[in-house]
Amino acid sequence: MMETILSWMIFLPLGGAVAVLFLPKGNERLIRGFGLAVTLAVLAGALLLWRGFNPSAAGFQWEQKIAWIPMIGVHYHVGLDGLNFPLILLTGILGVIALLASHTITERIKEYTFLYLLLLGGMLGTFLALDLFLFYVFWEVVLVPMYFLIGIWGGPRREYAAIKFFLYTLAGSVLMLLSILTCYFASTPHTFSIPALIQQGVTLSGTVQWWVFLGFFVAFAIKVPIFPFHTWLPDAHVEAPTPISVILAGVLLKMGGYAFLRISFPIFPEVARGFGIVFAVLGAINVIYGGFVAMAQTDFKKLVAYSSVAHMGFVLLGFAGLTLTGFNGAMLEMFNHGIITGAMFLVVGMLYERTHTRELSAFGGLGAKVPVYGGMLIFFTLASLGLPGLSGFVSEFLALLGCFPTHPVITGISVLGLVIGAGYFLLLLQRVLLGQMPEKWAGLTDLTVREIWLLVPLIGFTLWIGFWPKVALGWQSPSLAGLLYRIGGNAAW
Amino acid sequence: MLLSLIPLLPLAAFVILIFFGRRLGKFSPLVSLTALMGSVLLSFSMLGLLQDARFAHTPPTVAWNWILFGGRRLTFALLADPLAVTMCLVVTVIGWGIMLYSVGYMKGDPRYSRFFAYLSLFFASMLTLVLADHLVLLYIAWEGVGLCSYLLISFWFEKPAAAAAGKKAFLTTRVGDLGLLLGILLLALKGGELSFRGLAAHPEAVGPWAALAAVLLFWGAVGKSAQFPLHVWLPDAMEGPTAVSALIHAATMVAAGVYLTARAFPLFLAGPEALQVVGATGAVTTFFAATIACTQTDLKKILAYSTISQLGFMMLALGCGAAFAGMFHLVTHAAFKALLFLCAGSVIHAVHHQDVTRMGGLLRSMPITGATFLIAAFAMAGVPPLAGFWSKEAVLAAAAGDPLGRGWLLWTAAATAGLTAFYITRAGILIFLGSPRGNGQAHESSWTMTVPLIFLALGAVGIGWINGPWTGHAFERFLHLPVWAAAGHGAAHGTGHGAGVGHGPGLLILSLVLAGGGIGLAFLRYGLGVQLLPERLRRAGQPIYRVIANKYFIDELYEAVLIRPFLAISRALFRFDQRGVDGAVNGAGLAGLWVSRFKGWVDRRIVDGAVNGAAAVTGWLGAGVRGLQTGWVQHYLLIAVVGGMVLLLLLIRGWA
Repeated sequence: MMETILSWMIFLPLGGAVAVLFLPKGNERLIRGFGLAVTLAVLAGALLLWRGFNPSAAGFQWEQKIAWIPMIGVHYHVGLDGLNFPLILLTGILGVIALLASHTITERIKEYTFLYLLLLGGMLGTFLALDLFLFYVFWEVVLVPMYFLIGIWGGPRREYAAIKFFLYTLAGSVLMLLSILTCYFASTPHTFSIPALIQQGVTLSGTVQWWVFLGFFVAFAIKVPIFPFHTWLPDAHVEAPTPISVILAGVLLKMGGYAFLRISFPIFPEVARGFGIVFAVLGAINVIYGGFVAMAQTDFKKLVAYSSVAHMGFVLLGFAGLTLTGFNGAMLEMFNHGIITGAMFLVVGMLYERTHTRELSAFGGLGAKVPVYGGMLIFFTLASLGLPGLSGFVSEFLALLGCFPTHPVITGISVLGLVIGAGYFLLLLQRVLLGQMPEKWAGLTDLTVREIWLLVPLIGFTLWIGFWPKVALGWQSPSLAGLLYRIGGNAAW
Repeated sequence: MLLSLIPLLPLAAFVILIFFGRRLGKFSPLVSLTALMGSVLLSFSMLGLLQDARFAHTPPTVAWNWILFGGRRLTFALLADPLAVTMCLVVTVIGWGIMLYSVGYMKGDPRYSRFFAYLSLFFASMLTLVLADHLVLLYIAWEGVGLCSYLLISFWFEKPAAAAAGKKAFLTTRVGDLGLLLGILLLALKGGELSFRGLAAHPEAVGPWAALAAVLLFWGAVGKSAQFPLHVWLPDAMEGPTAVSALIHAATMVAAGVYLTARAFPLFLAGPEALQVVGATGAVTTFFAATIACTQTDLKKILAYSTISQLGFMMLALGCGAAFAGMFHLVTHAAFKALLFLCAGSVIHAVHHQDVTRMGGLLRSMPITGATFLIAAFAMAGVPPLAGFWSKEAVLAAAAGDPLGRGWLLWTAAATAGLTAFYITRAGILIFLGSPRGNGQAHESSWTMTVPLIFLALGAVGIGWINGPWTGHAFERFLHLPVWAAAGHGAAHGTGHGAGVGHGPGLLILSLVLAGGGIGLAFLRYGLGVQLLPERLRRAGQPIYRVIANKYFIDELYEAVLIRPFLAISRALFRFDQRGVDGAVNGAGLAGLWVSRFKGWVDRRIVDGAVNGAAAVTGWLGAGVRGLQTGWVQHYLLIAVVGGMVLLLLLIRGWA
């Protein structure tokens, strides 16, 4: 079973989704329990991988390759290395936590669980696929359940947000499909296999390579999201129910950043080198612009959503330097952001359920009334603003350090984002927790034991990576070094 | 290793109090006090080790790899060299006294245990900062103490002013931290060492970049030590409990900037242009803050500006290349300024307000507080043989012996020394002498508060003696800090030839005249009510006085040219995001919608069956899903895909 573990991890949730359809609609406890069992199984799989994963092994581990559509050379090809292992672990953790947080969903549990498991399987498939065709299929599989999850269980403007999300992503998908097909036709023999494409290279002129890279770039940039393709994110987050926001920010956004590392960079190393400056500029824009816009928000959730845009800027800066330190920072930032911002959305949701408002001006002084909640909010806010000792700092520091030698001025400008970030997050704390409490919240209750335990594992990861980043960096670093060698970046820095 | 226990013990106390604080209730301070006592004893044992010849050149250390991948390695270490051990003792010993004081001072507070939890976290961070032998580790601890400062300033967060002050402190110091961070990045990039031992061994490694790197590090120190122009947060920080002001915002954390500068001094000496910046910043800060202190009526504000001024005084010494003089003043200042704050706390506890013009005559009702306050005040004024006298003279000597011969530094330092004696005497007289002007039911504080006062008073009297001439300047020999050998040319180690030793009679007389003059004038003006200036001159000086009393309007200036534009930009960008970026997106979406509506109409009329088929596929998901009408979107994009594929094929045929 261990040889096929990756396929188990993909098809357990996909098969589970189908199985949910056959469960009796009225028995909500059974459906919820079944969903939890499947996500726990996925997490168990991820933990098994953790035990067996050898970061310094060459190539892929638990690789599986089966001809799927032999006529056009499509394979079912999955494998694990340092690029996707951290994200699989992240998906496993957040998959369980977001499902547990779904107890607030009370309508149409059956459809919800079906779509949730479908989403989970799609994301795992996207991270594990080593065949462009397969990758594309899973990429699209993710899109559909997300659309319905926002569109059915979302807030008042859910339909607008869902359609916006769908169109945005699909527009990117179209460009990605074009680029994938170009890769296919430009390779001899024609292949969709990512490792084969890397090895053979694509026989395209420089200009066409540039366009193909750009096609991938837009598709992935929308997912990251990179300015100016980011405007679906705040809407989607504000309307999505809490657990879906957690998955969206925690896992879904990482598909974009991951795809750069898995596909764009290794297949088009020369273009990637030339694109460094683009990443740097866009990264700085994401950090500063995202931070400024976050500062102007009056909606709790929207503020956190825009802070995601700023955080993703650090991922881009990490890419931009084309250094091992930068890549490590970018990759770790994806993991850390998943944990921290996932937790932030949980915390936002916990307040929203009690007060039914997210308007920041409605709060104030809650710190005295709900001290445990206040402590949690302070903790994750500090992690978000990159307080040293917590995980966000490690990755942001490495991203900046990695970008610095290549783009010193842009890095120098980007560090301003650290002050802006501290600005809006402290303003957030002030508006929610400090000052005088309005009378109407006199009956507010503090976090339940269940809610606390949802956050505890995330606190654990935040502290662990903050204090002891060696282990998490060890997972990814050898693979990133190989990638850098392939691109011709600076693996010594 | 025992060394790592120095910060870990308070950290353990923090963890215990966070989880069990509510259950421990009024016993919470016991946990903190016990843990910190452990750190005190360990610090003394480190001091003992340093006396041992075996550790004279290899001080106790503990190291671990924090980050290790590829060619990158960040090896953190704690190092107990003389400088660090000195700082450890200052922090733990004075800190213990202040913590004991807090037991009484914070009694009855609803978040009593939380207060001691935060204090413990502060000690853990501060001791890590002090012992860190790596700039990144120092940076981590540096922001850690900033966090504790934020939490403790905003401790009474129901007060909007306290909430705002905490935020302001964190943000202002973070502006400074950016410099520190960039300095670290620059050092790393140019091949410099990030450990202080490495920095001392190879200060020239970064070549011509040393000065810039040093200035960037110093910018961090400017933020933390509240130097001009980042000083604005410290007066506001007085919103926190007074024990916090004494510990963090007078004795320890704000001194971290001075400590960092002394720690990284080899780098400053390798790029001596940086010392110009240090000296100028220190001189401007020390004088300008002292003038403000003369005009304030809020007791804690007087002390806050006094702290800024004294930190500038230390920086001035460092800028003259005399790291020892700066550090010496740091140590004595920690004792007498902490004492001043604790006395202020005791007074505020008794009269329930902070306005010195409404106090008076308190010496009779609060004899211990009054006596210790006067000791601290005279120590700061520079009355021999109290602590401040020795270190102040060392600083004046450093300025007099400035290798660059900047005479204005000496005169600024001298003028500040006079002003210092003046304003602290003014405060003392207004509070303790004369007749009571406010409600006079004040009484002496409880023993948990007065014992620390007496304890610190002993320090304020005697701590300066550790470098008395009769000890052969023992403290200077112990610290063994680098000094600036010649004008801008290299460094040497201070072994008795450095600044602060050449106490010529001229300086001694100057020093005494300044202290005596300041005290005397203040006594004439506030004790005897003699107007010092003729009426006409006073009226002419009114506008100047108003500018100074309003703190040179710097807060208002920042509000107008920084904060408001900043928020305006933020709102403008958000509007742009909504109307510009998202407007374009919605426009495109709307256009697509009309196209697909049209196509949908065609579909319904012409290929009805296809639509029914699509509806059937999605139909089982429920009526609501069908209502979303996704069919048209997919169709529309299908066309796009097919079209794109055709284009693509043409493209490949054309180029490949």
